[in-house]
Amino acid sequence: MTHPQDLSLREQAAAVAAGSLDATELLDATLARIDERDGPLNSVVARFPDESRRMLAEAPDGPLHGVPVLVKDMFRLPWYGPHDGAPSQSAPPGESSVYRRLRDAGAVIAGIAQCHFWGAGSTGHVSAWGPCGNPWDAGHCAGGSSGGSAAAVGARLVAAAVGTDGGGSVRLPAAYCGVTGLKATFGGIDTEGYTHGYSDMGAIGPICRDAGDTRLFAEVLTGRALARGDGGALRVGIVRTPWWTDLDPEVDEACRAALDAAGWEQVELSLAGAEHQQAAALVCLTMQSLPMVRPDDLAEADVVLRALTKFELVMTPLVVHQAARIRSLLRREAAVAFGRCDLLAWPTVPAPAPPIEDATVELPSGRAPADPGNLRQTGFGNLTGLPGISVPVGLHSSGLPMALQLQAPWDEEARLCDAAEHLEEATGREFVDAAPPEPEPVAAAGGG
Amino acid sequence: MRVADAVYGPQLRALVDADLTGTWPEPDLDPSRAPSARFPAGG
Repeated sequence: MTHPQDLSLREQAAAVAAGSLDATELLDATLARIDERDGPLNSVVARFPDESRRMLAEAPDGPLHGVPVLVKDMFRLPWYGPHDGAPSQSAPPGESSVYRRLRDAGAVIAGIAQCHFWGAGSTGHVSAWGPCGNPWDAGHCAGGSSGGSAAAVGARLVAAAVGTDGGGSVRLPAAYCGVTGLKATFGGIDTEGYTHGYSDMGAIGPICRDAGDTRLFAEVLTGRALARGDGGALRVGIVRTPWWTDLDPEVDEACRAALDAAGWEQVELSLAGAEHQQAAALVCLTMQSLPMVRPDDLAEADVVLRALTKFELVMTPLVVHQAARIRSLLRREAAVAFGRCDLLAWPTVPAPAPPIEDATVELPSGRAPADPGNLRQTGFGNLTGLPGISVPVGLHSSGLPMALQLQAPWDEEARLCDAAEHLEEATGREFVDAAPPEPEPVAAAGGG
Repeated sequence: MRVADAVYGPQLRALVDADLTGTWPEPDLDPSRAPSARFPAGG
C-alpha cells in the first residue's frame, strides 16, 4: 500500500477533498514517518502535534485542506518563535503572513524545518540544532539555508515545505536534495513575520518534489493564480561567464543535456557587471544581515561566518557603494536581456553536496569551500529580485543530485513553472520522480 | 579576518577596483520590479 507521503502534494490535496484519504490519518502517518525517517537527517527540529491537530480541526475548505507541510525556522507561528538556526529565539511567537496563508488554505503545519545558522550559509551543516543531512546520503550536506525544508521534501516526510532565499537559500538546498525550489520575485510572498523580512535581498519560496506541486504551493503562498502556459516555446539566455565556468564536469554536462532535451532556442548573452556579482551579493548580504547578529550566539557560528561578522565592521563605504552600483547595473542588464530571451539558465550549484565533515567541493580551479561557488550561482537572483527555480536534472556519479536553475522576469513565476514542467516531461520525469534510498528505520523519535 | 579575506578577498578587491564610471545606484531601487524608466541607461 502506498504511504500517503509518497503521494504528491496535488494527489494528497485531491484525495482529502474527495474523501478517499482521511486528513487525520494523513497527519498521523506524516508524524510517524518523520519519527521513522528523520533521525539521520535532522531536518525537522520541532513538532507540535496538539497544535497541528488544532489546525486540522479548524481548517477551512481550501486548496490544501488537511495537507501537512513544514515551515523553515524563520517564521513566527502563534505557538512558536523562530530561532534562525541559532541558540536564541529571533522573534517571539506570532502570526506571520506565511502562517495565515497556510491556515487560510486549510493546510496543517506539521513542524519546523532546519535552518543554517542565522540563515547565513549554503550548506546547512552549521546550526544550533546540529547538522542537516542529505536524503540521498545523510553524510552529505542538505544545503542551506533552507536545508531542512529541502531534505524533508526529498525524503518524503512531507510533500511541501516553505523556505526563504536571501542568497540562494531555496534554490541551493533544492539542488542538493533533488527537489524543486522556487524563489519568488522579491516581495511576491509577503514577508511579515519572516525574521529577515527587513532585507531587500530575501524572498520566500516553496520547495516541493516537482513543478506541478510547486505551482500549487506557490499559488497558496502568493495568493494569486499561476496560469498554465506553453513551456516549450521559449528562448533561453545562456550567459557563459561567469555562470557556466568552473563547474564540476558532470554538472556542466547534465545541465547542457537538460537544455538540449527541452529543445528551447538558446541565445548567447553577456551581462555587464556579471564578473562582480558574487562580491556585490556578499557585500549586500553582509551589510544587511550580520548587524542583526546577537553577540551571545556568535561563538556558536562557524569560522567563516564569525570572520565575516568581524569583516562587516571594517567594510568601507567605497565597497558598499560599488556593490550598489553593480546591483543597479545588473538589474538594468537583466531587464535588457529579457528583451532577447524568456528565461536565463545556468547550473544551480557548481558541484553536488559536499560531505558534512568537510564542506568543500572539488572544482576545476581546485578544492574550495562550497559557499563562494554557490553564492556565485544564485546571488544574481537576489541582487536583481528576479524569480528563479531549481529543477533536478540528473544524478552525479557520487549518487547525489544535480540541478539547473531557470530565472524569469519579475512576477513571471508562472513561466518558470511552465518551463520546469516542460523540462520534466522532456526528460521523462526521470529526475523529479527519482526517490532517494530509504533510510534505515530508527526505533526512537528523531528530530526535536 | 584572514579567513574571510582568503575566501572572498580577491573578489572584493576587484569590486573596489572596478571602473564603474557612468554607473550609479538606482535612487529608487525596488527589487520587486524592473528598474524604473527614470533610471538613466548609461548613468
